[in-house]
Amino acid sequence: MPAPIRINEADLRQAMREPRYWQSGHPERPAFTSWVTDGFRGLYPSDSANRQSVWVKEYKREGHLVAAHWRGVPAGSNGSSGGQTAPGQASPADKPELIQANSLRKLWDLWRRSPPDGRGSGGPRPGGKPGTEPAPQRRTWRGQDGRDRVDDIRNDPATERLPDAHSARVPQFTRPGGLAGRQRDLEGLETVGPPVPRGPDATQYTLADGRLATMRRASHARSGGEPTLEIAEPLGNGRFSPADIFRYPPSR
Amino acid sequence: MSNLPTSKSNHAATFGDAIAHLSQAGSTKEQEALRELAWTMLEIWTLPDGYSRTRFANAWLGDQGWQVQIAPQREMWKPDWVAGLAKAAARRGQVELLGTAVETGEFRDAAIWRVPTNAEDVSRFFESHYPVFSLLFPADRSFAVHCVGGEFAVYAGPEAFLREALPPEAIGAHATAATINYVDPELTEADYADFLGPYRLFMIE
Repeated sequence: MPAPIRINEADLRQAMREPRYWQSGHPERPAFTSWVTDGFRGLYPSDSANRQSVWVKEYKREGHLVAAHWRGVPAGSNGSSGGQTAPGQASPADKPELIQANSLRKLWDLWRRSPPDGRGSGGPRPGGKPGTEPAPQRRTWRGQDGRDRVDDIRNDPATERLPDAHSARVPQFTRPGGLAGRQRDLEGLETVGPPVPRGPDATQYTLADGRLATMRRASHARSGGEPTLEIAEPLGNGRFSPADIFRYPPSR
Repeated sequence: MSNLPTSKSNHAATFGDAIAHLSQAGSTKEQEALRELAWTMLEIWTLPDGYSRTRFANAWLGDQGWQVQIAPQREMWKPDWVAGLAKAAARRGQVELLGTAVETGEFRDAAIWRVPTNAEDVSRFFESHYPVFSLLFPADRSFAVHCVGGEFAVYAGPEAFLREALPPEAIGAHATAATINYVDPELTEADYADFLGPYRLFMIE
């Protein structure tokens, strides 16, 4: 029984950053790109059939070496073949060690499903791969001067959209200036009433048009405490939907 | 923001008015007692940048024989997603849950809210506390959900409860990896190691 390898989309994306994937003329490039492509096919089968995929390392069968390969599990087989499990194929005991692409797919489908009013994660957007969906259709907001101040920030030439980094499918952008840059942007918005401190690093503002602006700091280790400005739009009945996340990395 | 009567209005502030129709859990003294119930489940950890955060205490998880499962916090805004949690709690006779922000320092004494055990109100609680760390639990502390800002929801309780509260595909190591990828595709578990590491012993594989 070969040692199974658990691989998810993040692993495949990491693999795509390797020279073996992108460097023209690299001796391993054809095999490597094929491996990545097949991995994505396994994770997201085009026909959405009920299946799993596992990466099987090379192993010996009856004295012969079987090369490493992706193995798709036929729909309805539940990872086994009539109670007999082929080498590398998912058996109940193996499951924790094996990629469960179909489960991942189901999860993404669940998370993609939103209430019809759009709250939660920006509304329903069927199909498409996670992290690559287009931005949700926007409601138009206008201040007293006829401008949408948030739109001004979004469309500023210094704003860079993060194309593959939708935090739970909320569009994200980077802006220059770190903390000072965020403060400048906040001052450009029409806030009303006093700021409401919510935590050691979370403060909320209400905008004149009813949207909410929240200043926070990213909490993961790589962020270096990166300041963020998050805009949320009212949906009625007291509920809001996140609309934009502006990040102000110290490096910009 | 909600503006319900309280001696410390900021500590009762919520994101939007999603739970403006709910009430706080009794008098100041009663809330203090309930708050202490919440905090006995938690510990404080400090980030390299000096900010202090909350998470479930390993001692509590170990003593209770609990396990944990990570899910995306922003999904908790959806009634569909938290319906399993509400149903699992209701099946155990919990007609009402308690919810509060669990931040540190001057923000420690946050309001405790009574949250009826139904998907709509549970989702509203999580939405209204999204920018901060928060906790939802029954008074008997037979399970709890701790949320990490707008990023993660940490379901904690007996394994049987977690398996009822979450869809089967949202349980296990692959679901944890998918959650991190969903929160931000650029990040991996290593980026959240200081937060997730202590849960490793208790995660459902």
